[in-house]
Amino acid sequence: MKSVFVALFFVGLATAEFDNVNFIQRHKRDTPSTCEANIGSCCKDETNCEFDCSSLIIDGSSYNDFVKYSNDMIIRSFEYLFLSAQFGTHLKDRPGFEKILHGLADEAWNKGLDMIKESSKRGVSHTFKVANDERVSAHGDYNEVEALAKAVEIEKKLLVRANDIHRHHSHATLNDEKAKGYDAGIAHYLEEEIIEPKIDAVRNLVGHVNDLKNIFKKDSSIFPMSLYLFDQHLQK
Amino acid sequence: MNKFGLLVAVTAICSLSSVLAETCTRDANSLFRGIDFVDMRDECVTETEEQIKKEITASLKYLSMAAYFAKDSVNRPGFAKLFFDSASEEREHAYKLIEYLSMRGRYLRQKDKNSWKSTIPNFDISSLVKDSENLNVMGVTLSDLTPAADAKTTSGLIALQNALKLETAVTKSIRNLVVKCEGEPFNHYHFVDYLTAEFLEEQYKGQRDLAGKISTLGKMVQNQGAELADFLFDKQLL
Ligand SMILES: [Fe+2]
Repeated sequence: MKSVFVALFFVGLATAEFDNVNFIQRHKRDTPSTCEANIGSCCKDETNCEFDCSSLIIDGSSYNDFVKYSNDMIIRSFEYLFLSAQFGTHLKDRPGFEKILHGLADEAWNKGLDMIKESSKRGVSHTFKVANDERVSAHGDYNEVEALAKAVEIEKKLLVRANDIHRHHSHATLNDEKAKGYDAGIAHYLEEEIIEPKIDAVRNLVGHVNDLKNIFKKDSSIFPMSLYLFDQHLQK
Repeated sequence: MNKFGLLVAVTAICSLSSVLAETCTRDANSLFRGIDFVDMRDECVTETEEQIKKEITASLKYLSMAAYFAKDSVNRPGFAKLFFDSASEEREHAYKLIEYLSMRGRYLRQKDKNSWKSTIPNFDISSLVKDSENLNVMGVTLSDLTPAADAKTTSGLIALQNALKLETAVTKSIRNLVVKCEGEPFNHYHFVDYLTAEFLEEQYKGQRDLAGKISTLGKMVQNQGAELADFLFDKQLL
């Protein structure tokens, strides 16, 4: 009996790769098919209640990139927030640009939180210890066009990565050695909640940037006036 | 056009020649030379930026607490909601202070004649996110949310006590900010009033709320039935 428990403990460790140390020590996780056995033994003897029932259907470490991505959404949300704040200053005074960038900040924040909730549904223990080291880069003076171009860059990178994570969880990997990452629910979530809104965001921002570029190219001398009008357009 | 071709094209347009650069970037600095309305002092601004960082730190700490309660093995949706909401609130506080600095012309600080920069985007948000599970925050030591098996407490109660510790630290920090900004040689009357009326008001009300919750749950947890008390209290938070 003891050896079974030791074995299960290690399975628990593997599936709970993200748990912080204290959490691992105090909570042992069962495998996808052992909830009844473990909890059943607890019912016969309350000193034998070491195991938590788990919602995991695949290895917990499969969600590594998903967890990392949600942390990065939090980081990007602050990057957008700081960028947005620049356009609220008296030096720039572009409420329309402030608004569109603040909208991106809120969207990234809300989706970051929502992803944490989503992963908790799969039995994944979220950890903040994994995040990209990429620093918030929107420092200093950004002009209006640069700020939107920067936003295009951020959104596109996030979209590309969401696609990669989707592939990892989708049937595209079924013939793959790594098919253990297959999770139709997560793939669907990524499509609906992350990828589709990002496609719209990228297209919208790219449209703005190209408008500004074309206006500037044709009539660069009146560009301050163009920006003023464009800002009003963004405020709507 | 490849992925970043567009970006390259745009930045190229904006920096090709100095003539173009001046039109692509409105040169606002020259507009304010000699008619500077900006009067907030550096000491006060620097301390405010520190406070912004603390609000962000508190926000991320609450986020890590929310994530803990969202786990399937912990399953306290009420506490998760409470702390997800707190995280968003703290983020709002950070932005409110940024907006205040902006209103007073001090979000972007003048580095030299032609360059304006904020130090706030230099915050290493990535590290703040990674450190959000640490038990030492803002000079306060918090308790591990998972109690030892024989401890007469619950995750919920520990979390509320941690939250109160955190808020008390934030209140202390705002009081210090008031002291920094109110003294001689320049009294920031309006900012201090704003901090007192908006921020301290919310702090004291929030602390009273947490203290009440600690009291209510604490009384139930003291004796038998701690886990059931935690379960019931959680549902009340939904
Ligand atoms: Fe706050």
